[in-house]
Amino acid sequence: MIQLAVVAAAVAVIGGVAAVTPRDSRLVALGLLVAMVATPLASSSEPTGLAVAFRILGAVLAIYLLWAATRDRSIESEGSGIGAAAELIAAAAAFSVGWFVTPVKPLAGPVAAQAAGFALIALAIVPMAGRNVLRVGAGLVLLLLGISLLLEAWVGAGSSLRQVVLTVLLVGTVGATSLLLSPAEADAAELGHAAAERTASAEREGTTQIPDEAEPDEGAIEGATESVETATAETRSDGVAIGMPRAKAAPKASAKASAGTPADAGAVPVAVPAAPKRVSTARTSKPRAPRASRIAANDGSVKRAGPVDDATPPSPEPSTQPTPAPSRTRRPSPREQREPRVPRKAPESAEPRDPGR
Amino acid sequence: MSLLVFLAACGVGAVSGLVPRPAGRTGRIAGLTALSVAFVAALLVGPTTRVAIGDVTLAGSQYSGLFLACAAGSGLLLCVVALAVGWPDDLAPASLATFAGLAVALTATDSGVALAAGAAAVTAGALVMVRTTAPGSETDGRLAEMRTIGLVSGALLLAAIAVIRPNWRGPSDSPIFVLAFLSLGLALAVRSGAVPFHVPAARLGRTAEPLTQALLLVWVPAGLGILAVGWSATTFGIRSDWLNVAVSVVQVVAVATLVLGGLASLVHDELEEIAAYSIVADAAFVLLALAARTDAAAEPARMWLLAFVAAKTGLVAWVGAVSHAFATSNLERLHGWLRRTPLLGLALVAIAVATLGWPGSPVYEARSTLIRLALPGSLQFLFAGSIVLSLACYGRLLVFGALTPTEDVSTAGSERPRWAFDPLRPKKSAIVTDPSVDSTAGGDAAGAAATAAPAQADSTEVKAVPAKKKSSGTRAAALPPTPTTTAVANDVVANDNSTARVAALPPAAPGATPHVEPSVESEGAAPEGARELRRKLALTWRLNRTLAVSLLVVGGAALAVALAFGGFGASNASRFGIPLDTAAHATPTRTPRLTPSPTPKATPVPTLAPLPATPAPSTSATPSVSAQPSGSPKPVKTSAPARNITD
Repeated sequence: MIQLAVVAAAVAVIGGVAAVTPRDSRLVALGLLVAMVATPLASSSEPTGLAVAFRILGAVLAIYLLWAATRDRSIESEGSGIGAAAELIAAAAAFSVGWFVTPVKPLAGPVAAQAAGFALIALAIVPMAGRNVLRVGAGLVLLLLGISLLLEAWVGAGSSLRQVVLTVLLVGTVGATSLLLSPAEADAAELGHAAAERTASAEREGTTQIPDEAEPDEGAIEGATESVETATAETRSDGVAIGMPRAKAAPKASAKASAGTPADAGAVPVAVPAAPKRVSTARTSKPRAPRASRIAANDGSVKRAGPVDDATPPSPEPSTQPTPAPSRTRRPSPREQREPRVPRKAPESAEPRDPGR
Repeated sequence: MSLLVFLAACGVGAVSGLVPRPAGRTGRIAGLTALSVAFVAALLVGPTTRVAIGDVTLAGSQYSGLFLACAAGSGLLLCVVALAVGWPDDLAPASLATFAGLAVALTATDSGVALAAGAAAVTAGALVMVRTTAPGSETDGRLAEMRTIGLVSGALLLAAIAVIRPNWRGPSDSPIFVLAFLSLGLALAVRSGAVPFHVPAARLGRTAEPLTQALLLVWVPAGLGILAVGWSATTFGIRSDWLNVAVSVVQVVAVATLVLGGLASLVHDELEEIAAYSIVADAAFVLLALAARTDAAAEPARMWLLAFVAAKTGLVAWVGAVSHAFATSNLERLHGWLRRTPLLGLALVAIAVATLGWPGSPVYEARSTLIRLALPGSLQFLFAGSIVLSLACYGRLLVFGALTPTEDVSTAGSERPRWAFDPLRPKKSAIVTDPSVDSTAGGDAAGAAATAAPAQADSTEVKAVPAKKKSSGTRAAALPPTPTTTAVANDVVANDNSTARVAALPPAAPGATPHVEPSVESEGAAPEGARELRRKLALTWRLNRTLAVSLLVVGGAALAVALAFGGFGASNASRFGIPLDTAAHATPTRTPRLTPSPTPKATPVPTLAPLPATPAPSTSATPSVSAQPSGSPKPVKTSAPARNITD
């Protein structure tokens, strides 16, 4: 007869695989929920109802926090670098090792708990070394679940207070992950992606267009300050090429201002010759203003703000020179390396122009 | 009961402070009230405090009560200072959540509960992190905090497994103890920002909310240090080559932190970084206490942790006060700060005294004892070296403060008391407000109807200048108009979150064209005595906010000095540990099989055998065990060992 602990241990491992493999944050949350719910059932052959109920309630609360932080934003995990099948095989291998080794004899808990603990710890190692906060948080939760399984397999079922404290620890960990998931990361990626797509389409069609629906919301503008600006040489005095789309790293204020101008709102497709153009890249997006700055902007209760990048007043006259690349750029994530969002081919006008030419 | 009140206050306060976003008046009141209740409740925690939750007892002790009171009081002081220098929304909730976790950890008699609670307390640090760097960059504070939480939580849970000591099959427990020892050391080092984990700690000034260095670098590491010290002499007191190697690793980290942290505090110019490295350097003593592995190190470690919490919280508050008073935290721009704010200079001296003490004082002896017990004789000079580095750090700050004031300092407000009205010369007084804003001092703009429109300064207000301040007003009048008006106005403008802009202006300031309207009395309006007095008192309070903040910091530093010198029962409480210390001693340590006795006579099985009567100064390679298992007053019923020792 298959024991409940064995089934729960297998389910917990599958949930762990589901938490570290996909990119979609909803699947990550679902995997974590499955793992967190199955863990207390696997940790003891005869789990107490109160402890299980408390752990399940804690799991639901924790996943709600994560879901609330990611539901309105397409925050994604980096996903597994080796694929779901490989993750599953690795977890199964660790599960087997945990099933057959006996570092503690006699075991105070079920051997399935030890095996699941080994598997979850093995699954957690690689994500914790990543640079994606959601993935690091998922790995951390799996690590804590694995260690708690080992604790109960080797030492025995803990006291009710230990269950409470472990639940608080898991909720706190997931809550910390939810807090540290910055929406600006997604906004910057989204806006940078949209800008890159617009630029790419403009390159293909030979036109530049800023559609209305592509206008990001305010939060997106805060997150990524890339703005695509259309300028014509008739309004310029330095003889720059006509009608080229020019990407300019504009501060937030100017981005907001430009978003409200009729010219931008109209989004009239402008036929332009195949002039040299400079494209925007997501790599040069500025970071979102810190929370302290945003709070200070709202009510002034926080005196000390962060960097003053976003507070820089907009330049009344756009510079004709290309905007120099920022000294510090964001390191591309592995996903971006695999699926670059920006055009690979840099146009000729990316180089500084000689005004006297 | 008092422990329950403490936990309830922390829990309710944390939730209440997190619900209103942004935390307005409700959040502030909830945070301050909860901290006050927690502080009072912690003062009542004593050896007779017991709370049974299931089969685990939360037992208070004199030291745990004093430590929790010290932490809650430090949090309360910092939040009151934050009311004036800028309220970080999440400081109070995060502090309360951390204190709740530490309270469970310091009073639980179950090792697994205590270490898991300590790990849970660490997660609250995520509340105070703000993002100022690009995601994924090397300086991403969120990622660093996430990794810190992961390392500390995982290490504490691993240590819990080893400390509880299941029935290992191996021939020796040494590898497990090595793992547990390194886990505890790693948790302490990462959370306290020890070298080589110091970079996120140094950047907390940019990646975390203001004043939160006290939470992340002082309160949490101190609580974890108390937990770790409990097992230092018992669980890790065995003789093992691998454990000696692990101890050496912790010693190296501690020495590097002590030296490099002190040096780094001398070369940085940002006050936040100076404070961070000063805290990091002093946190090395906790690692030394862990590496000592003797009961003799427990009492000085507890004493040091009390002084550490109080003094370093005072240092963080001092940094906040100086940065607020002069609107900069760069030391190069703070030349002459001591001339403008001598009370803050006095506070800095008090903080230095509370940190270092002098020969014979408890804190001095605690630092000396920890180095003597944890380091070999050839490294004893590090005690003097640490004092020299700390003195150089504080002395550098004071010397810079005595230099000629920079423009930032000279244009900022001072601690000199100022009044919104002059009862001696009411006829010459006129209150002028910025016409574009309402006077928020009393909410009565009509009462301050007089208006001035200076040419350069858009935020000035003429107020009554006492006769004794006339010279300074005249001197200010001789200066160029813009710096003059800004200089006087900067204090209040920088202090005030609202739009009240008040400053003293000489009667005939050049460049300014005061349009003085008739006063309320001359208009024939009703004096409204009580209301007017209240308004003026509020205005006076705003005018003297720098002075108020300085007095708060001085008060906190004075309390830190009192604690460091054994006041408030600190010396007596340090003799007794937390209930977990008793639990650690009650669980006998397995006899190491790798070191059989050379004599034919059988030696006692438990390693708690009274080998040396007095703890001799020794290196950590030969841990000494005192005759007295613990200084705790009474054994506490603890969770039974997982197995019987049969070998």
